Parts: sequence; structure tokens; C-alpha cells
Amino acid sequence: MESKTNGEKKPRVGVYICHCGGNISDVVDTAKVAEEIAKLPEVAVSKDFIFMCSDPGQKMIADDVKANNLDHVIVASCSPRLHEMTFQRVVSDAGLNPFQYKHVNIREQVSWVHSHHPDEATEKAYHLIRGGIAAVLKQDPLNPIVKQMIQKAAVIGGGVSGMTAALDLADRDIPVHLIEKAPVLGGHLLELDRVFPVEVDAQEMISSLIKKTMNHPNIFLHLDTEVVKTEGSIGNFRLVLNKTDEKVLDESKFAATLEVNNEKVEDVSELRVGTIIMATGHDFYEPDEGEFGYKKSPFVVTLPQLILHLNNYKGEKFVYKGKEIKSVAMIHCVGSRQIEGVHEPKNGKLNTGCSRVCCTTTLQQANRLKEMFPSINIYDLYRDIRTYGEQETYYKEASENNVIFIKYPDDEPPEVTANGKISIKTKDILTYGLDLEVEVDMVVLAVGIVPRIRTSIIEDLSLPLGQNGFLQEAHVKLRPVESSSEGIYLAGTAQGPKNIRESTMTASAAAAKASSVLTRETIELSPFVAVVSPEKCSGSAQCVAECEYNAIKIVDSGLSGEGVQQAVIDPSLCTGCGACVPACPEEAIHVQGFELDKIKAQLKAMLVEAN
Amino acid sequence: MTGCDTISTDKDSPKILILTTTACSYPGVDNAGQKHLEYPASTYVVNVLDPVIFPVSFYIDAFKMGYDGIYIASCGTDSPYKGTFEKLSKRIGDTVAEMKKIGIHYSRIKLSAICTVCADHFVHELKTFMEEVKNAPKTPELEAVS
Repeated sequence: MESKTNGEKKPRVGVYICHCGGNISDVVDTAKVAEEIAKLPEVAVSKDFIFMCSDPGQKMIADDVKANNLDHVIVASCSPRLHEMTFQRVVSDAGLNPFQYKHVNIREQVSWVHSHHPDEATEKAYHLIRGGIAAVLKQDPLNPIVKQMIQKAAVIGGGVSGMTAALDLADRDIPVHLIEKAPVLGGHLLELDRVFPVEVDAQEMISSLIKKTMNHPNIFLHLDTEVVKTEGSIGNFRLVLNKTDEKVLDESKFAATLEVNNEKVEDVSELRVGTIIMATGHDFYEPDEGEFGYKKSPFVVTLPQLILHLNNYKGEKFVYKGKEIKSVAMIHCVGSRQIEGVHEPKNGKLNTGCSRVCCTTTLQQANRLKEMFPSINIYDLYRDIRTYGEQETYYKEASENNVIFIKYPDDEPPEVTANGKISIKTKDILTYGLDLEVEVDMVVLAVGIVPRIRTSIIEDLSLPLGQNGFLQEAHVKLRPVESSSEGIYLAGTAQGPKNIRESTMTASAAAAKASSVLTRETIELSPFVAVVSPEKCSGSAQCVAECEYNAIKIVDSGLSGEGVQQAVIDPSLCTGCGACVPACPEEAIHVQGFELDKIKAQLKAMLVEAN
Repeated sequence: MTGCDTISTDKDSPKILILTTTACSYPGVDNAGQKHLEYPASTYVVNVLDPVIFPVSFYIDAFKMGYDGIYIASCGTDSPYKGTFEKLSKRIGDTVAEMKKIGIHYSRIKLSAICTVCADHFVHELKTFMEEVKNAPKTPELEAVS
């Protein structure tokens, strides 16, 4: 095999097999593996050691690289997710390119899963290391892509999440452009009375946030403004802005928040920023006409409509549209947790997810009604009560308030008839399937949270959406506030249903992630991106159609003669997914670090038996 | 159950190539190790960002090299990369068609979705797949890959 790095005929690989203090060596015969691997002609050093990750282990590798003129290093130990970067740093400090290192996992994927079969585990460790050697010898040295960073951020959406993210960034001395479609900041929080689970006054909370946002010297406001075009990539995004004519529904309700300091409001048509935080929020599910009697009767309302009506309500009796309301039925899961065959798809899609906040909000409002109008009768028709965590207190309180709970089957939603009087027929699981019929003065529909996908950024930057249409994070547990597009972060309900506390937590997390790159003048991006071999590319453009991130363009290359069209890839837009690779008829594209010939060499070597 | 009584360790155990993804299934396969679940040793994990990178010929070449089965542990619809799962699904369909042409039974390839904590699901699926590969019609002699 020929080394791709130093051009020498014979490579010099160092192989280090870790005992992991017995975690590996109690199953795998590490000494035997080291002995067999040492017989390979490309291997200059093969050793086993009790803890490769320890200081003596790391020093041994670094010393060997220098003393034995090693050009590649393999460590066979735990998962690369634990120590790949440790050993990349070791070889880098010893003078090698970090990608002349290959990590082989013989703990999580060998000794821990074949612990009763030490012979097979030993054999497998040998094969995996051989595969690793073959792969690393085919690996070109790689370097991170270095890019200048515009040390400014844009936050799209001026609700509670957007303001929280903007304030967190601004407090770190990062200039922030906060862009809001509406003429006021605040979003849905403007429409609430109290915020669970600690019953914070929503208007006090939002007024305080708005005041801080308005007065912060590092925050530049763009109200009544939407982003109509987005270009670029992490470090340098260009946003084209346009004024909207969005109106606030009822200005009298939001008087306190309309005191906008116009000196703070920026009026520009273009921005350049290094990162973007998407805090575009959500919409509430709008029931179809006739769905649970909605729009068939003025007394069938949604939960947000009820909350708005009760805000600042002064009367002793509950009067709605001229009628005294003495009984209310509240129906859960309207537009959430929809089931195929039971619910009607909207725009061809069912909202199958739980909206997380409606159960608690429904019971919060039930308790509020009982507090304001003690004699009111409340029926709560639910599928499951999901008042998770400390929100369970709302359920307890509702039970103590004599709210009558009726559990209806998932596949048999209540039937609401609204001809003058409102009648509800339902089956009640709590009374062993008894058919019930109740007449009420008002029905409240606990509508779910649905995605608000109205911004051009999603299309311009090809941001992926999850199954229920919310912005999808790069990884639900490992990268929960990052989009798969570098430099785009997600805050609040743009990413999925959340309560206000959860929304502000994700907003702060997104701001922390964004500031980790915004505080640098340059950033280093992963080298795992697609590259074109100009000598092979014929400009067929088949790769362009496969790329969902607009990272590939066909240009006049100027390399192979005038008028020759070839593909070029913007590495800062490329995610390295590899969708373009099989599309090329000339095999002119590869993803650095994942070259097909390298992987094939690994596959072949893993099946070679020991001599 | 450690699974030690149920694990086939014989030399005839089919050789399975497992393709994993950095975002989802590689941590999922690691998780099987962390839980000390057992599965047969004739299994070889190769990790990529997304298996959509592989053309049909890659899978055919893997069979020609001597792998008896290929298990693609993708991210499924949770893929962080836009549109790749749909493209991958189509590619595997095309691969099956190509396999049929040269006499490799369709049960020797499986596309699955494995998350970061899908350890039990992964082990169950892998064992089932290995049984299917064991019982699959024999593959005719294939030309070697250079």
C-alpha cells in the first residue's frame, strides 16, 4: 500500500491497542492482536498498553511518532466519540496531520458485546484494526476550512424566545439585529394572563423583557419587518429585509407594549451577520368549520380566545357575547395527537405530535374560571392528562375544584351538536365506557401548537423540517438547538411545542451556541465537505439537482480552457451529506474523509485473515 | 439475559457489514455496547455521515468482497440532512433490482432506522437479519473486486 501523505513507498504505521484497564483486555487478547498486527509490512510499531488515554499512554504515542518516524497512527480502544479528539491532538502535537490518525472501536463494539466469546472478539479486533490501517493509508491530510466571522447576530422573531436570545447575546457584547414581523415585540405572550407553572404575571414578564430589549445598546430592532431573502453561510449571511403591513389585532390590549422608542428601530433593507437564531414561534391550530361545532356556534371557542376574553374581565357573572355562561366543556387534543382514519388531515397532513402545553393551560384556565365564577360547572373531556412535572398541581387543583373529568377514547372524539343549545355526546372510559350526553353553554377547544413556517429563510437556506413541520434540530439530544446548516440556531417553539420556561431555556442555549462562534474573528469548519476533481468533472450538473443546500454551482472553470463548465462547491454551505457523490456520472465528487476508495479498502481489509 | 446462549459464534456465521451514521446509529450501536447486549461477532461497522453517499455499485462490490449481508442503520426520517432518507430509500430499491440481476437475494440487504438509544431495537433487528441472511438462497459465485 502506498501512503497518501509522504509519498514514500513504504508507510510506517503505529498501532496502539488499549486494555482500557481490563474493559477490553479481559475479553480481547490484546497482546496477541498487537503481535499479529506487528507482522503487517506497513506497521512499524504495534503495542498494547493498560490505558492509552492516560498521560503515559499519550506520551508513548508521541515519542514513538518522533523516534520511529511514524506517518500514520491507529489507536484501538473505546468509542471514537470519547477519545478520537484526544489522540488527534496527540498526533498533531507530534507533527502529523490529525487525519493521519484513525480510531478503532474495540470496546463498545467488540469487548462489551462479545464478552462471552473472547476468541471471536480477539479475531474481530484484529480485523477491525486491519480495516483501520487500510483506511488511514488512503486518507489525505485534511485541514479545517477557515472563514472570517462577521461578529453580529440576527434573531428572527421578537417573542419571548427571540427577546431572550437577543438579550443573552447582547449581554455578551455581541451586536444583535432583532427582526419582528409585527409592529410590537412580545408574540403570543402578549395574549396570556399568567405563566405556569409558577403563575408569573405574563404582562409584567413581557413588559420587563420588552423594556430591557428596547433599552439594550447592543440590540437593533427591526419591527414591522420580514426577511425576504437570505444568502450566504456561517460567518457571512446576507439578509434582505422588507417592511410588512401586519397589524396588531387589538391595540388596546397591548397598550403598554406599544410604547416603542422609535430611535431604537432600525430602518435598513439589508443586513450582514455571522449567525442567525430562528425564533419564529408557532401558530395555534385553527379548527375546520364544524369541527367540534367550531364556527357553527359563537359559543364554541378556542382556548386562546377564552384566555383573551378573560384577560381584564371584571364582571361577577361570566358573560360572553351577551349570554351568561354557567357551564363549560373543555375538550383536549383538538388538532394534536391526530390519528389516521379518525381525524381529517389539514393541507394533506395530520398533526400527530402532542402539543405539550394545552393540558396544563386548559386546567389552568379551568381553575381560573372556578376562581372567578365559583358556581360555574366545568366538564373536562380529555384523552390523557399530560400535566408533566410540577404542572401536575393544576390537575390536583382542578380535581379539588370539582372539575368533572371525562376520559374519551382516542378513536372516538366527542360529538358536539350546536343548534341553539350545545350538546356533547361522548363515551367515558372512567365509567367503563358509559355513553354520556351533556348540555353546556360554552365549549372550549384546547387547540394544539402547529408550525409557523412563513419565512423565506427556510427555503433560501434549505433548513430541514421534522415530521410535524417544525424546524428540525441537528440532533435531538446531542445538538438540540442547532440546525444541520452551520450558523443557524433554533429557539423556542420554532423547533417544536414548548412551554415558556422551556422556550426561554432553548433560547439561552441557542444564544450560548451562537456566541461560541461569534466571539471569534475566524471560525474553523469541518473538513468533511464535498470536493470536485476538476480533471474528472464534465459539468453534467447532475450533482446540482441532488444538493438540497444550494452548495454546488456550475461555473466557467477557466481551468481546462475557455467555455468549460464545471461544478464548484461552496464548502461553507456543504454539510458533507454526500447526496451529490453517487449522482456524478464521472465519479468526480467525493466527500473529504469519506472517500469511497478509502471505505472500500477498509471493507476489503476487514475480511483478510491473519497469516 | 446476557444472550450468551443464543449467540451464534460458529465460523459459518454470516459476515454482516453494518453501515452507520455519525448523528444517529453509530451512538446507537455504541449504546448496545454500553448496555452489554450481545450479538454475533461477524459484524463489521463502517461509519459515514449519511449512507446516501454510496452508489448502487458500492453495495454490489461489498457482496463481491465477501460480505453475506449489508445492514444499513440510517437515521430514517430523523436524518439531519434534508431529503437524504428519501434518496437513500430509492437507492436501496435500485440496489435490490441490481442484486436480483446477478442472483443476490433481496433478503441480504436491509435498510433500517436506528436512533442514538435504539440499542435493544438494533440488536433485535440485527439478529433477525442475520437469521434471514443465513436462510437466504445461496449467492452464485461473483467476480472478485479489484
